[in-house]
Amino acid sequence: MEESFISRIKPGSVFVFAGKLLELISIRDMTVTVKKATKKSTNIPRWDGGRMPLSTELSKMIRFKLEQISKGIIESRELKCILPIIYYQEKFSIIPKQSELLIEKIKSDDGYHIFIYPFEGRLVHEGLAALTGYRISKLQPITFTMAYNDYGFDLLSDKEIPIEEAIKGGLFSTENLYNDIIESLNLSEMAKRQFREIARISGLVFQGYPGSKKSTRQIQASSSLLFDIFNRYDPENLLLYQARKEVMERQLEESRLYKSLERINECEFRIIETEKFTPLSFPILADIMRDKMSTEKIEERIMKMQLDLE
Amino acid sequence: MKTIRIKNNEFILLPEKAIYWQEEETLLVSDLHLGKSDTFRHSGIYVPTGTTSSDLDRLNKLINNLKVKKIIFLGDLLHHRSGYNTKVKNALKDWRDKNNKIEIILIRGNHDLKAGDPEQSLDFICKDEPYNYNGFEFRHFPPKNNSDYCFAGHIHPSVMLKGKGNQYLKLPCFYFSEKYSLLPSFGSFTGSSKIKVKRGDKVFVIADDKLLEIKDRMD
Repeated sequence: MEESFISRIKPGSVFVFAGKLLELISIRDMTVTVKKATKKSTNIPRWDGGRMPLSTELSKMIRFKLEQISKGIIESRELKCILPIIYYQEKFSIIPKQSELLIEKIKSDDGYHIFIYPFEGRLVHEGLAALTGYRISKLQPITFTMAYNDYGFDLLSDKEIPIEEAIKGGLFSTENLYNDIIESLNLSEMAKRQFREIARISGLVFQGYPGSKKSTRQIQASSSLLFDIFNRYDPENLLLYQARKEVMERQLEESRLYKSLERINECEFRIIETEKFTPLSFPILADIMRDKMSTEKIEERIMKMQLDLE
Repeated sequence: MKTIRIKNNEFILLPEKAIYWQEEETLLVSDLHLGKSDTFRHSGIYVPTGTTSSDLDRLNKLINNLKVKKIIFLGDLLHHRSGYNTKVKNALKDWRDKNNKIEIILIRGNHDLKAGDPEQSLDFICKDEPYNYNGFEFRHFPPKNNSDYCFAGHIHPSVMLKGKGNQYLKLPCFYFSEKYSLLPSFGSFTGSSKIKVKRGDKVFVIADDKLLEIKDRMD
């Protein structure tokens, strides 16, 4: 487990690990000694590894394990631990087999959700969310916010999402993939987000010299304002190109998007309408990092909105 | 066209982020921050040029479409001394030459205090706040205790709109309370900051060069 987490826990304190309540006894020579706890705790370890995308092999393995679960083959201790979660997933929805793609439709107070679970890892899902969002928004003007994790992604809109129509129209098609990704990139704010890093590295966002008392307020601007200014007054600028390139590379090469789409296309689509959030959908719902995309007129969007009074 | 009536005067809100005071044929403009990109460049930070000249062009278009006798700049006309270079000076001078019949008042904002007043030859009447004129008050900073209705800048006001489906939009706005009004920043190389809005206040957002009133629909 991650040192940064365990070093903050004092001996005698309780935390949750692999679904078990554990009490810390000691840490020595990179070994953590624990015993089963009797007290309760809400300390749950979190590691940077959890933010790292699944590899091809691992995502394949997860889909294989899920298929076993769906067939009732539950051999390992770990799988036995998550039986209650599996129970609820099967109660409200299904556990997809390897040959199936699970799509969950959920209407909540927030609006209309479409959760899609390809189990291909974060990076692929980031790309797939933008791509499918873009392809759906070609059918009708619509606004999405999108979230994703290693299992799947969520498209959320204030309107009902025409998912069946979109699937018929080739939602996961590999045709026109490159162009559609470029278009989805323009529509979403992915490049803007990437530009934050680029603005910092290239020195556009100036934090001031350490220890210097001289005010540098007059040369401070947010990376998102700079991004807009660059786009309007210098659209050919290489820093903008770099931001788009980095997103594209992440989407196309690292993310194996093409191969994922080919696999998805061979799947049987299982569209499940459910009233409750399922164990699979909840972690995606809870993710606060959301991308945006819209093909609606801004006036129409404003008319549907209201002021956040304080 | 959105018009606000205050003390029997008509104020027309312009989506170009300015207010036209009909009775006085006066244009109210705030926070241009001319020469901001030049300030960045002076400090060795690359940003595209063009914001200053395009802002002056926009201002010209407004003046040509309206009958303007007087302009009141509500502060922060210039961004910083280091960005007020020959190029920006010439641009401002050209703009002034084109509009030499107009009376111009500049209420010094925090940036103007550091940047200094424009050259005397440009004939800007520079004043410290408040500037009172025909029953109204004009300031750079929002007022604390004003008797006359006040127009101010400085804040670069914007509001956050919230919609279903986890949608948010942050948009620059005009703000009217019972005692004062805030103008959005005119300069294109300017950010904005969220303001607090109370029940009964009026807010007009600017989106894609359109002006829309936001109705209070929280209850």
